[in-house]
Parts: sequence; structure tokens; C-alpha cells
Amino acid sequence: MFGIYWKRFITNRMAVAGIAVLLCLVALAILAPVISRYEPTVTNLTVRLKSPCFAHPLGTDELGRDILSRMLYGSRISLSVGLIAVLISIVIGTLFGLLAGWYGGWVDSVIMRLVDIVLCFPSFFLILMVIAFVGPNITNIMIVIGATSWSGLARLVRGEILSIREREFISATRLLGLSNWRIMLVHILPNVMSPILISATLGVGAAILTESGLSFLGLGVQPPTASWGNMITSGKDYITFAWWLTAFPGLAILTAVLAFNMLGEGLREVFDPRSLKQK
Amino acid sequence: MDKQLLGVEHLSINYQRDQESIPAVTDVSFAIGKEEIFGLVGESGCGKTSIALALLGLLSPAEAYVAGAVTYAGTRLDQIDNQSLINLRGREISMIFQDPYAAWNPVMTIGQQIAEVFLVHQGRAPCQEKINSALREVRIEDAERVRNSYPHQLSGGLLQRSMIAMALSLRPRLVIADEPTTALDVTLQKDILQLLLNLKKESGCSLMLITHDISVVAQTCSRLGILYAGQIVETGPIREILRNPYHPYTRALVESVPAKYFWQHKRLDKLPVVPGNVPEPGKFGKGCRFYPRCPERIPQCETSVPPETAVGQDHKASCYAIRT
Repeated sequence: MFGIYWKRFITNRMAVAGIAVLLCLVALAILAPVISRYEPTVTNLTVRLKSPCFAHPLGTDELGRDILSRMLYGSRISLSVGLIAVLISIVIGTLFGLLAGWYGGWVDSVIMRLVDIVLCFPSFFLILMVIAFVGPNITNIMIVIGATSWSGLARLVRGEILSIREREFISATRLLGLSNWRIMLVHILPNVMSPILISATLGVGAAILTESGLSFLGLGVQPPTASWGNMITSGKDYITFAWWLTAFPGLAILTAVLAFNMLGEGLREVFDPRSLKQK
Repeated sequence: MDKQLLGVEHLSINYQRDQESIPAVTDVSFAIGKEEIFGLVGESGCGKTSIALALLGLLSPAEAYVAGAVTYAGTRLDQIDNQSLINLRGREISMIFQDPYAAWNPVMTIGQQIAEVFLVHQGRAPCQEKINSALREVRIEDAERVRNSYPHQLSGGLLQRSMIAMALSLRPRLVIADEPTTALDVTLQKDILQLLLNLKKESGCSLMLITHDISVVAQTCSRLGILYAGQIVETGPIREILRNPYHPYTRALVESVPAKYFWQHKRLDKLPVVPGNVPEPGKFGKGCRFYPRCPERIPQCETSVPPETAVGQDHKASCYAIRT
């Protein structure tokens, strides 16, 4: 069973490229203390705003901190925020979508109105507002991003289920005496897996961007802790003569988001049995 | 008739749509004996599938109002609780669907889906050999490959065989086959039908064969119910009905079988047809529902529904114009 998927995954160039980049990023994040030659928060004013050189491959910032070290530590923040926020949003979104699509009636109405309410707010401002109340720290950011980004997924899952539940094989499972929960989890959920996966991987990219945006506005991860977003914020004042302060964290965000999107697209092809070649 | 296994009495199904009640099936009664093959024949949209779904309690109360009594092996299916009904489905009564392409879950292999039946009703997953042997029972040579295939990788014939294997895997006592051969090509139809009959003989279950093709039931069934616009117009043993059809609709059906026409007239230039169409549900008249198309109608037919009359041994028809 897994053999088939593994074979198809490994032959899918886009998925492999995406996962390779992501594994590198994760490895770098985990190994940050080993790789980096400087503490990410220790300042050294004698080497401030140095352009990339041998001692500081990506240069230093306005307080003389090594950009490479800060980016390595920042990747821990950005990746974990992205992954955990999306995990939260997938659990909420899938559950609500499943319930609304399968049970219909008033359950559907209540959940979909809730989705409408959440969608009404521009989510970034909603997040800003909530963060302003609960205080900017990394746990709050994960929860708030996760709790505000499930609505699209809930809609997507509900729509898929509305079409799948009318298919004959669902009547067939009911005729064979399967319970509601079993039908939902074993027979319907795998059929909506590909939209969930795509949405999730795109969501990780979006969550990383949101976190960067929040940090850029000063409501995300607080200095001196480094995150890709707040590195760009602090670098923006020097952008005219010290481009490396903003360019490298920006490149990191771009790479991570791109890799997640490629992985998502690749996974979609892998998990879609209709793309299986005839044996 | 042998000992009764399933009894349906005064079954009516009304679909609820936009505050409107649309009668799909009205006052249908029939019985299926043990080890019997009962054929339910009717045109598209006359309520055949609705009856099958209602028997198993699969029409949700929100969309359909079901009245009447369904007795299975002494138990009233319309009165037992939901969990008992769930336990019954698949184990005691199972169903074969019309379209084998649509009835399989596209993201699971055939083997996984057959395993579901065992898992749900016996509480543990079966070994692969058990699934293979279930597949071999329906004369699938290459059971190993079929078990590991996804539905889209197999042909319609193999899918329908696998469907039969799944339906029979727990040795149910009643199998409902809802147009099991309609979606297959003609050369396969005979094979599948023959397979179904052989398996029925081996396992000793009863079979309810739903079809629109009277030549299919002529080859297979022992008893027959003719359904027209949601009502049974004639029931009886197959030989009786084919030899002496009483209801004008049955007669028209029997006469429109090409082989029979050819046999009698030695030519096939024009087949007799039943003029007109089945009235839409909800637009029936007060009297006999066949009245607008009936060649032998009398004024009485328009105003009152003809009662069921015994016309022979275990043979009943609902018509005022019964020729005696």
C-alpha cells in the first residue's frame, strides 16, 4: 500500500524538489546551534552593518549581529509557526466541513453562518486585533493564525462532501451496514484528502507570510528573538545601503513558501489514484 | 410459495420536496419466500429502487415519508432500532448495485473495500486469503491482482463480479440485485446473470431481482411483481404471468419482447409498443394509473382504483377489465 505511494512520490520531481528543500530548511533549523558561529542575539557594535564577507557570510545588522545566525534561529520560529498554525486550522476546518457536509440541515446552516462570519473579517486585521488583546508571543500567534484560517478549508471540505455523499458508493457503504462515523472517516475523508493537502501546504506558506507580516508590524515575535519577518522590519531602515539585511530573510521566506507549494502540488498528484497508471 | 422470508405490506413512499408530497410508491405488497428468486419489473422511475432502499430503512425521514410494514424473518424492520438495522445490512440483507463503476469508492482498493464488510460485521479484518477466495467464488481467476486494484483499473464485468463477491461475502439470506446487468454490455449480461444464479443456488439465499427487462426475469425468476407508476399491477408465478398475463400493462410488456414477437410472427418489422409515457409522480389520476394508456379501459377505471383480484393459483392482478 505505502509502497505504491512511495514509488509515485519518489518519481514525482516537483514533490521531491519541494521536500528536499524543506528537509534542508528543517535540518538547518534543528542544527542552528551547531552551524552558527555567533549567538543570534549578542550584539557587537564594532562590526555593525558589515557587508557579506568571510567572517559573516551574509553580513551583519545594525547592531553587529550575524545575519546568518539570526536567520538560522529565525527559521525555527517561522517553520514551527507555519506548521502548527496550519495543523490547527486543518483540524478545525476539516471537522466543521465534514459535519456540515454530511449532516446538512441545521448543523450545516449553523456552521456555514459561522464560516461566513469568520470570512467577513479581513483575517489579517482580525489577527492583529486579537494579538493586540492577548499579547504577542509565539504560542498566541500560532493559535490565532490557526483559529482564523480554517473557514476557507471548511467550505472546501463541505463542498467536496456534498458531491461525494450523493455518489453511489456511499449508498453502497450504508447498505453494507457501516456506521455514520466509519463512512465519514474511512470512506469520505480519503476522497477529500487531496484538496485538504493542497490547502494545507498552501496554508503553511500563507501562515509563514502572516507571521512575517505580523512581525514586520511589530506584533509578532518580539525582538531580540529573531524571526524572518522582524529581521526585515529592522532592516528596512537601512535598505538603501545595506541590502543584505532584508534580502536574505526575504529570500528565505520565498524559498520556504515556494517549497511548500511545490510539495503540495506534488502530493496532490501522488495521492490521486486517478493518476495511477494502468498496471 | 415456500416459507416466507420477506414480507412487504401496504408500503407507500412519499418524497417530500418543497412542502410538496410526491408519491413514488403507493400501497405495494409482495412477499419473497426462502430460496426464491423474486423479480420486480417496471419502467424507469416507477419506484423500483425506492422500494429497495425503503426495505433497508435507507430513506431518510427528512426526504421521504415511508408507511407500511416490512417483515424480515419474523422481525418488523420498520420498527426495530437503528443499530439493529445497521447490523442487518450487509450481513442478512445485502445489495448489488446497478452501476459497478459508481458503486466502488475510487480511493480504496477492491480488497480494502471487501475487507470493510468483514471488519464491520465480524469485528476484525479478514486475512487476504479470505478475500481472495471470496473473489474466486465469483469466478475471478486473477483474484490477487483484482484485490490490489483500484476500481478505475478494472473492467465493468470484473467490478460487477467483485460487487457480487462483496454482497455475498457474509452469506446473506436475502440479496437485492438492483438492475445488476443494465450497465454492462450485452455479452456480459448473460454471464453475470448466470453467475448470480449459480451463487444463489450454492449459498441458498433468496434473490430479489429488480429490472426493467422482462426477458431477464423470464430466464431467472420463479415469481414476479409487475410495477407500474408505483403500484404493483400484477403478481404471480413467472410461468403463469408469461402464459396468461391479465393486466393490460403486463400483456403489453410481454408482447414487446423482440424474441417472442419474432417467434410468433416470423418477422421483426415493427414491435408492438405501449403508447404514451408513465405519468409523472404527483400527476396520477384518481383511478387506475394505467388508465390514460390502457387499450381496454372502461369508464370505471378513471374514477376508482381497481382492487387486487385473484386470477389463478397465487396469481393476482389489479384491473377491472380482467378477461376470464
